[in-house]
Amino acid sequence: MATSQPILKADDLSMRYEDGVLALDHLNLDVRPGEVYCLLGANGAGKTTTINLFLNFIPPTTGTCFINGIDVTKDPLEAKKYVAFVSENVMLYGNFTARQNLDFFAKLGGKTALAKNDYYQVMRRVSLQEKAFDQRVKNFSKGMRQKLGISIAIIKDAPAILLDEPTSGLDPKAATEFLEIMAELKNEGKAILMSTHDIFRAKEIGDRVGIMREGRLVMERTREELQHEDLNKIYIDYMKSAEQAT
Amino acid sequence: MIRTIVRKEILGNILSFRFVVTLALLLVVVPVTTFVLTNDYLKKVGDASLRQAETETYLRSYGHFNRIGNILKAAEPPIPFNTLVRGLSADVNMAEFDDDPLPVMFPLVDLVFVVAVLISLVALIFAYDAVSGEKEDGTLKLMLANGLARPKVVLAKVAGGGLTLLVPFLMSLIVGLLVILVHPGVDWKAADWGALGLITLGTVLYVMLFYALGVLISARHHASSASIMTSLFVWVLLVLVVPSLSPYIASFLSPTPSRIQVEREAERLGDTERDDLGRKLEAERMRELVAKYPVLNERLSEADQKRLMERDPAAREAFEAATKAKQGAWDEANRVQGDKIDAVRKAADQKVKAQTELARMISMVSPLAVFTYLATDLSSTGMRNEAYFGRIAGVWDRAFWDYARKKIADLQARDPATDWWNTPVDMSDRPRFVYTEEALGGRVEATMPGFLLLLGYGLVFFALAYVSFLKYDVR
Amino acid sequence: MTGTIARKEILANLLSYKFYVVILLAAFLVATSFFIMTRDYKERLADYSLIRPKPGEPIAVNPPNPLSIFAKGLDEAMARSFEVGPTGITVRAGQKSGNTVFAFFPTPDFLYIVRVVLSLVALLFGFDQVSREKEGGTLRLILANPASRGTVLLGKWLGNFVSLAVPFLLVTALGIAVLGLDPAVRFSADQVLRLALILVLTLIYIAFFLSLGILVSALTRRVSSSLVILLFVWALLVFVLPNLGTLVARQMVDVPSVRALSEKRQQVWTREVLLRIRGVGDWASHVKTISAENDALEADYRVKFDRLVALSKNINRVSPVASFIYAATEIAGTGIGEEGALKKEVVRYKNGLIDRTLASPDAGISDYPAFRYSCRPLDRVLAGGALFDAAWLAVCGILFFALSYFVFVRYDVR
Repeated sequence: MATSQPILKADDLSMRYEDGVLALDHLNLDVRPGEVYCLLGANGAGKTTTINLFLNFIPPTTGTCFINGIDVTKDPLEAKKYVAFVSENVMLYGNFTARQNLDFFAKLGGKTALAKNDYYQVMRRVSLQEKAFDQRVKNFSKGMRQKLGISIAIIKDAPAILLDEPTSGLDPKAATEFLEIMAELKNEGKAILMSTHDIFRAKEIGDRVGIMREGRLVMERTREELQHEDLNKIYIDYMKSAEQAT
Repeated sequence: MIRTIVRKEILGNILSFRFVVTLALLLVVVPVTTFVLTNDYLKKVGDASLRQAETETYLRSYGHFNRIGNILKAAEPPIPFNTLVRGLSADVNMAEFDDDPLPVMFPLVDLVFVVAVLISLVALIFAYDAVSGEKEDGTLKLMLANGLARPKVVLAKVAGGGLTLLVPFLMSLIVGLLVILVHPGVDWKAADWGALGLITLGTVLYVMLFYALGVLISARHHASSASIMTSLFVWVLLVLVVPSLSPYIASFLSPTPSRIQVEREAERLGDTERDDLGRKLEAERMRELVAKYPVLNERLSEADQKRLMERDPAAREAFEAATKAKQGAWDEANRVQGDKIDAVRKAADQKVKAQTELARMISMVSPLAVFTYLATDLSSTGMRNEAYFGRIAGVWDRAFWDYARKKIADLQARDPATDWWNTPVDMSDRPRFVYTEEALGGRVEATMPGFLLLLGYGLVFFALAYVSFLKYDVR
Repeated sequence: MTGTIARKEILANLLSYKFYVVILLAAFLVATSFFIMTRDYKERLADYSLIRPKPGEPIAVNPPNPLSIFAKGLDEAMARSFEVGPTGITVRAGQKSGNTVFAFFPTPDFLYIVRVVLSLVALLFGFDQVSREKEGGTLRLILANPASRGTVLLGKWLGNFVSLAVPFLLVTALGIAVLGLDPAVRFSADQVLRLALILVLTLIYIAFFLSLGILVSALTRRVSSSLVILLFVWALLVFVLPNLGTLVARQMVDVPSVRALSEKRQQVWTREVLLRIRGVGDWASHVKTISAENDALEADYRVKFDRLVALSKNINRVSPVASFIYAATEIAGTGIGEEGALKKEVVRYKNGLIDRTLASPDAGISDYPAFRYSCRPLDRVLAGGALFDAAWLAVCGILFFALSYFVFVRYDVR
């Protein structure tokens, strides 16, 4: 378990949109190196908003996001050096091959001196088929694109990784492979923040699990605590009460 | 079932962003254009009557038959249709030094232009994702899974989309017409309304044709992003490129001598060759005469010749015969060469006509050209009107000169001493040139093929779209 | 970072369907245009050799301009032959062809291809730059990296500009090289320089439309919306505005129509002839009267016409496309300014001839120098407005790019 400073830190984060909707309500959360934090919640609970705030896609109404101790709104370019992002459902550049996509994003992430073999190595690591390395991405299945997305994050070699619904639409085999990679990355010391609907996988991989509801982190449990509790039941209970409340 | 899809098409289109933008665009461009053109027309009408008055004043003091041809010419007045259509009546006039070069650089925007260029583009904008877009959205699968027959779907799409398109055009046309009618000086007649109605029909065919083309292209692509590229490519070729290239292609395939070459040839035939021929004939005839009248051989000065003519009747006969022969020789030379010149000019005219026809044919690969010819011919602003005007101007011209000769003869009879050709004469009883547009019937008959061609294009595109859609992979 | 993005844009273009459609279209059009316009030029050159005045003929004629192959402008009007004399100036040889189809549709010269097709192409390269990457999700991926929005935008602009400019210049250069092989077409050094300037102007024009496309892309969230707006804006800028502006200007400036002017001239001439026949005054005084009145008419017309041209220019310049047309035709020597200068020179020639005939009526004119006109020098052309137009075009492009930056910084990438 990690005991050092958190790489990802959300400090009293609030986000109110122009139309008045409160998407985040004083969120506090942190992720340490070597830790996987799974963020659960219904659609619209604020998971994606949290990630968008970390990436400075929108400025928060109040509060701050820190990546590696850097305030994301004050120095975004510096902060982004230390985080990698895996988006949900990304089409990538269809006319490019997997390697060309990887090459482009690697260079953007600062890795300008890599060779072809380095790319191939990363793609092998995520179990992408060899023959797909130099095939156009527009013919890829969702699972293949997801793997490529992860390899893009891996090759950046940043201390933090943000993932938005990484297992949605993946078949069980691909999802298992994904978890294996997450475990590897965790052991390498990466701080991983993952938003997901997938309770089962969250329980398996998450060192900590947080449940969000209407912009608030209503519950947080560590792995040990979850051994004794039934996450499914807790989650569904919270979802139900959310429904009753609305 | 078809009605449901048509309704959905129409509704879907009306609620779309592009419909609003199209409506806004047309509602601005068409009325503004007609407003500007109407003012221009009224100005021209005022200018024409002013010039008329000036000419009358001038004629009273200085009108003399010798040079009247320079002053009185058959002129084409501005017609009410000029508030909507310009055609060839645009003021590109290369025959004068003081011409106005602006229309060459910036040709005018009129209704024909708006429809032909803008609306065809609009049609493609509406149609390019008619099939490929629904496939991408997944709604095509849903429609067909609900038991809708493919033929019905494609028919409904073309009908619904086409109908929606006509709404902005007709609305803007109505607004434009209101702008025109509000101006008191514009005098629309029944025939004009008839022609306008027919032009509108032509527009409907034109719009539907392009919409069908768009649907065809959409049904041959699986991504809307590719479909729009192909649509624009085709549009650029059909609307912008083919018409402009056609006269040049025609001149390549069916060359004609340029006007200058023809005139040079005419000059050569009329001057040098005629002189040569004249001298030759003169020499021939003189040889004959000299054989008959040896006195002609002698080289006598004009004074001596005169004296000899007075003394000797035989000599006089000889000299008179000689003069007559010379005159006859030159007359024949003139006649022969005149015929040759006529032949050359006629041949050149034939060639120009052939080239023009060929250019027309080639250009009609483009529906824009077909529509342009149709609209300009119906509104008496096109090629047909040019020919018609030439004919009636010719008729007036002959009538005028008949009048002139008769008048001169009368005046000469009364007062033989005066040179009536160069004296101001009261011409207020002269035949005046009155321009009336060709009868609507004639214009309609001439444009029938155009209508049929537009209809034909539409049907062909629709048929191809139909077939393509039947084979379209909806997965 | 900018370089990485620019390189990716170039690679993406090279791998796209749209790029090849565009290159094919552009190559075909440029080649066809050069071929056609060269033939046209050579035919007019052949005509010119027929109408060249012999010594002593009072004819002013200007040879066709080889640069008219690229920008025909008013060259056909400027290559007419004018017979000058006491009665005024008459056109002896005017329009080349009786084929009226020519009059219906615009001339497909290089200027037309660039103005109409290349602008569309540049817009099509720019219009989905932002909206497509947003829809595809790659914009988020890019911005999750230490690349500022300005860098991203600039990289996109540069990459797409290179993708457009390089193939276009190659195709054009090839076309010009082939043209240069034709012995009948001769360019002077000055004309080569002008041609180079026109090409630079073309690049500025492309840059403008690319910036406009990117602006539209940054203003819309969906590619389909970008497309619709873009096509309408293009149609307005290229077709409607430049032509409507002239018409509007005519409403505001009263210029005597061509017909009215020629009628007046005829009336003056006919009247004076009549007076002469009647025996009023001697021939010289009539000639002087005709000449004076003609000059007055001409001067009046010129003043009004220049005012019309100036006003229409200013209105038309709302669309930078008009600026492009003005600048390109003036640099080529086939523009309105050049035509006006030519006409002035013809009038001067006429007046010189009249003065000569009045001064020594019996001497004849066989030794009167031939008419000679040379294009205004390049620095005068540039100073006379061409540089302004080019600068305006460039400024608009920069403005639109700046605007797109401003908009993109606020763009919602989620």
